[in-house]
Amino acid sequence: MTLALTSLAGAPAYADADLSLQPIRWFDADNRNIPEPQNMAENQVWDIADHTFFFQVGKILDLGWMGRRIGGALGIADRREADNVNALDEVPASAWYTNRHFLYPMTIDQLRDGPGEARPDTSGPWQVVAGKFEGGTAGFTIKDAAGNRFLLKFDSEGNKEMGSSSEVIATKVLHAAGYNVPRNSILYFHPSRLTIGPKTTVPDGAGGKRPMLPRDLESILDNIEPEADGRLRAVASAFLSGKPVGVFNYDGRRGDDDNDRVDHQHRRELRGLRVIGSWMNDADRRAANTLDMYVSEEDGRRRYVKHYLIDMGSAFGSNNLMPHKPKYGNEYVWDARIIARSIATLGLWRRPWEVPVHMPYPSLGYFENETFAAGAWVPTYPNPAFERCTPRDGYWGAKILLSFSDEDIAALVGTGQLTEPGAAQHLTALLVERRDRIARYWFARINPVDHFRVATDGLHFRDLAVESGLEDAASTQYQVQWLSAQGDEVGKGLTIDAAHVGFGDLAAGAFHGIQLRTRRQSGSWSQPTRVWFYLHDDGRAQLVRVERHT
Amino acid sequence: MLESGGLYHSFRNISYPESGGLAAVSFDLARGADDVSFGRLGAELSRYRTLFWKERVLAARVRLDKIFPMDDGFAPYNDLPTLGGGNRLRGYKRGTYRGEGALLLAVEYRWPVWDTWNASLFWEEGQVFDDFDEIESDGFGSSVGAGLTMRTETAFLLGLRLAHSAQTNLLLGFSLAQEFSLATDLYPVAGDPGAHEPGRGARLC
Repeated sequence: MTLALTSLAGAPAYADADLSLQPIRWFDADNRNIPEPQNMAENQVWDIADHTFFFQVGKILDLGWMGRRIGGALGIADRREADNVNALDEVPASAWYTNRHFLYPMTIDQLRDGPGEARPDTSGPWQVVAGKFEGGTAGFTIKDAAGNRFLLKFDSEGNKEMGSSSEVIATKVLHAAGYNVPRNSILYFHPSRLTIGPKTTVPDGAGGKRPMLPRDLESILDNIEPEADGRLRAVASAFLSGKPVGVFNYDGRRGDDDNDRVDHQHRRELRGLRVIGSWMNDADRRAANTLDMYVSEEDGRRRYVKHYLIDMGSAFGSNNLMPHKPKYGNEYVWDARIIARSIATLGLWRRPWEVPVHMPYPSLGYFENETFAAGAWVPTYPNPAFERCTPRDGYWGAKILLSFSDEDIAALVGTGQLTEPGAAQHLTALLVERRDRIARYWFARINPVDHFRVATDGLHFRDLAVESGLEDAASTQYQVQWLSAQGDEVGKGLTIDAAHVGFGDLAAGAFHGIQLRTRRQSGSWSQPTRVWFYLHDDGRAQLVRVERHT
Repeated sequence: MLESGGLYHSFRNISYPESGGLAAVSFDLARGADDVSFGRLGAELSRYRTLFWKERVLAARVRLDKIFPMDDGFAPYNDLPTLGGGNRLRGYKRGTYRGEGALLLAVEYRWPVWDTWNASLFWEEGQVFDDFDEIESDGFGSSVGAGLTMRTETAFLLGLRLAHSAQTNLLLGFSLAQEFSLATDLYPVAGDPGAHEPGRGARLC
């Protein structure tokens, strides 16, 4: 029984034995040379059915998952936290993720540039080398005069600028947040620039292929609404370097990639992506919209799998070809929870999103904050990593969002090149409001003190809620409690109103801890965040651990 | 055999009426061998009303079927109106009651549970008779139950229901057609469900 309970609770979330003077792990060496993996075939229908039905049933039958749920309800088990966080509760850089705007603030120009622009060479014609007949948007692949390939995707008829702006803005956001994304840019060009490549084929309707004819290209172009000057607007997506080896799933690991050592559902950056997705209403964030690339570095001496998020055309108010449905973000496409609640309440419960909100800007599709609930947001299909998002993961995602200032958001929205008067401003305002609501939700669960720094004069930290203007510094207090290396309280606590704790006469050559709780106005104290450091004999202090409690 | 009839409805959405009503009547004349000769009247009135808010609908339905033997002829047993099963007294097995006349009173509450799915609770009272003066207030058989109707974008319908009556504790049934929203016994629904405009009558026979 003891063993069972220990298993339920897992290892203690934090233990004094974890205190170490080892350097903080800021890089996960998952880029070691590996043999070329198999291409992981994608079956969208199975993926949707699997996660909508079988995954949900499987959770109930999973003793570990069920045990934790029951244990959590009884207060004897914590939720399983992410595996790939360092001692400071941050995500090390990896083939999945790079710390960017939150830890290393980017300039407005860097935010706009994102992973780089996708600009085909305009010194010659663009050869259409393949049609894009799968997926949500029509398009084709071109090869420019310099031999570079780009996928061109177009807005659907009647939804001008909606899908293209969403794709580009979301790309820039995800890049700044730290994810690997392709270079996507808005592109205007005249169709006369296009030629059909000699080897370009299209499906012949009988399972085979035939050479692409001018009428095939025309049939694609006929569905695209041109600008007044005859140019076409598209998203240019630069081909990623390396060899595509399929999608990545949001659970499990690739069996043919020895670098893939963390179950994907327990990766912090994939769990926290739920929060970033909730901000953008990135409802189609599922395996089908990912891509693993077998990349080569150091002149081919090192090859490994790099993991990308792709296809951002279902973000904000866009669902690729059409506006989002009002339910997207609020419930799964087929949501057993909602169906059961609807049946049980005999129709007396009305989904808040049942009555669509008026959308003043057609180019923005359907995007609103009125029915948005930060903690309840879901994509269109269950995502195993999102479902395991804990308050710590959520806080991590929220603080990344809050690192985007109002000006940053306006600049990011600007990359979508929305021309409908007022649309960009409206989207910016919605995102600013939604960012703050998300931050408030997750900051109510985790004490939002962060950016810890220890110096000879003490511990410095930043209160993200105050810094962002969500809370007032004048009405904020911090409760400080010194801790021993074992986590025991030492001495009497004190209350301060500045984000600095002096060391006083602490013993050198030892670990020390400080527990911080925060109170706004006359409210209750937050859950604690504990910071551990080592005071060297020469007076230097070394930050060794951050613990965030829920 | 001669068939005639008419139907009028005032539904905005014929596949999921939320308000308005339906009136349908049919009259068939049948003659055959062995003195088979009868007329058959079918009449139905339905009324729909939205409760609380959108798509929460209370529906009431009255249906009468009556055989009129003609020229000293008779109606074959299999042509007599029945109650039980299908859309008529769902807590009883199909054809439990049979007579020259059948009267059905039904009330149903429907509400949406998913995009194209709705759940329902229903209460039905029905009795069969040979002559109108045999209809008695305590002669009704009762049926109550719940159902789930799954529509698709192409108006294909799958209905599942559980019903209770004096005959069965729980009777599981399913159907592959629109239930109750129209006089489907007389006029099967076909084509684009959204094609009907409110106030427009549809003469089907």
